Amino acid sequence: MPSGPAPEARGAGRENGTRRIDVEAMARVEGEGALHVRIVDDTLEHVMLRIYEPPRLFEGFLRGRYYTEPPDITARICGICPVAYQMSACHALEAACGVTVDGQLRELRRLLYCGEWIESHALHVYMLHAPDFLGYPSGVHLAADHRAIVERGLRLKKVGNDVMIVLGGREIHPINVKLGGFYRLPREAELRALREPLLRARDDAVATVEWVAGFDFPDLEPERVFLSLSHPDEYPLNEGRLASSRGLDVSVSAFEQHVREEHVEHSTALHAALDGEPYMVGPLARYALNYQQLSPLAQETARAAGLGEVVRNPFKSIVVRAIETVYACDEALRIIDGYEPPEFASVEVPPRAGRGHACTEAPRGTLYHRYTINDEGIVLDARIVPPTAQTQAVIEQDVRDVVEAHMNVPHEQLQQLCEQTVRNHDPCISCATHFLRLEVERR
Amino acid sequence: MTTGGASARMAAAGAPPVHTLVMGVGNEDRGDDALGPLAARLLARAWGDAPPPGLRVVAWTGDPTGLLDVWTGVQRLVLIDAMVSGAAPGSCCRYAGDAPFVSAGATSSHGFGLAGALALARALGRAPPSVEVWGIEGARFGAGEPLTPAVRAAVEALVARLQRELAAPATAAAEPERDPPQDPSRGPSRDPSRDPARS
Repeated sequence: MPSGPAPEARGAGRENGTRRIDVEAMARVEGEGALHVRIVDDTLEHVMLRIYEPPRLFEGFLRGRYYTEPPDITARICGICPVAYQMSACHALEAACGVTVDGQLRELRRLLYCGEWIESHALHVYMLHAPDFLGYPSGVHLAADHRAIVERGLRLKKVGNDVMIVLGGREIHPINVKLGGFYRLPREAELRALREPLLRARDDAVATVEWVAGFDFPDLEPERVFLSLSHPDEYPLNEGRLASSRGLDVSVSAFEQHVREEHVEHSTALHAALDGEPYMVGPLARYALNYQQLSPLAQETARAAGLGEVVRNPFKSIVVRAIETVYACDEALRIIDGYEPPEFASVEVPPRAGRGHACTEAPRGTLYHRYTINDEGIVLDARIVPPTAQTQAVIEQDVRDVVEAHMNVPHEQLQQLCEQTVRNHDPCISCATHFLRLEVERR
Repeated sequence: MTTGGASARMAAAGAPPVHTLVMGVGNEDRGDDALGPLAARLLARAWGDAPPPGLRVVAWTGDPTGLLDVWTGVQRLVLIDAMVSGAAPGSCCRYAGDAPFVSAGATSSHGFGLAGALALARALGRAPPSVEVWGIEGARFGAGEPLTPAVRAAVEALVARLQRELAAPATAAAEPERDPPQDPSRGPSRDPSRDPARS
């Protein structure tokens, strides 16, 4: 993490009747990308989320690797949601090999995923998104004025990290995940030691919901198509069927029949459409399609925060993220309380020729993996569709809606709103792209 | 020496009190960004099993927000990190006091980097009383790229220097040493010539 002089982050100017704002590096977004907004005579001409890092080619260099390698290789795509990559890769490869991991090993995978949700959601809510609502340029500025609140956020995040350390060996790019389960099982004492911190974290998460529910939210209720996993018995993390607000209910193996990705001129990432329509994944989609599977406390907290069973305002994603954090703490406690050590740390996953598909729910939405392997276990083909690539078209739509609804607000404020609108989706652009540069051009 | 975020934090729980913490920060798979962890490893190797009392060396490759916990209770923090300022590769600068570091671009995949962690620790009143940062100018940060030879040489020179300076008793070395305040609009390395440590 090299340090250096501050780049000139923003430039604003008015020349020959053209008003333009450039943002060299849009802060508080994972990865790198660019957003360009052009307004001519108070008419929005275009909104373009542009991505200019070359495609990551992960799919290409997975070909020819041994089938046990993708969980660790793909985890490197993202430092903030490595568990999602490991889990989608494991489930897809196990499906290809005809192996199902269940019982306590399945529970432990869920526990690991809870750690990632707590950690990622806490970071986004406190350090990346809350400053937008409270008028601070960064989480550090927020911390200067609201020390106790930010300490609560860091405490919460640390518990998520600790869960990942116990299950995954370390908090970034865990090293303990393998096909069929884990390299090493956690000791019961290690899991028990997480109990008290998780109880405190759950209280902190409830307090987080109460805090963020009191923010002012721009009035925006767009009708978006939601897509997420859905499971009859649990809030979806590792598995389920693909469900949409249009009534889709199919196996994850049908993902590519319904989701089409296409190149668009302004981006090196692909834009996805669900049966021809833009759609979104992530907390709002999961919540709307799986509200009944939330724990009683999470539901009660949502009701107390004034949320219905469907939330459409993308700015309120911060509240839903906090509710999912309550759920993740609850679920982690349930798993720890019911833990009985399995006999083995992993089940055998012998290679066989085949194709496997999987979706799991990364903090920012559904992550699809598909692998084809031969009978020697060599990967012949791989496909990865990250959540942010799927939501990209909806992010552009949201920015369009926000700009049109706030055409007359001062320029600086409009620019801030645009950035906030992108951050609503917690985009992990590094998974799909690189670097967000914002330009609002007004004539 | 301890490596990484998780183990460093875990080790901190039962270890004797750390007065001076030397921390090399960076991503070992990203070219010259590996210089921080490399410096920490070389320093630890130089001392072997007998580091000066109260001193601990950590190569940090973990989550920057976790740094705050590792820094807790530390009186003197010595950070070594890669720097991007336009200076010649291998240029080495020392900064103390409230140098206004920023992360180079928003490229961290963890929300914020060392600069953010330091700023956050200061905002929360959790920064060690004495903080000094050694920056070595890097030239390349691509995935899987090797260390630039000039950077490697600068790391070795810095390690030799720190080995001498830190071998003094921890209490003596811990006297807060503040450089003149900087113009906050300046990056840390726009005027590297002001520091005698420049190599």
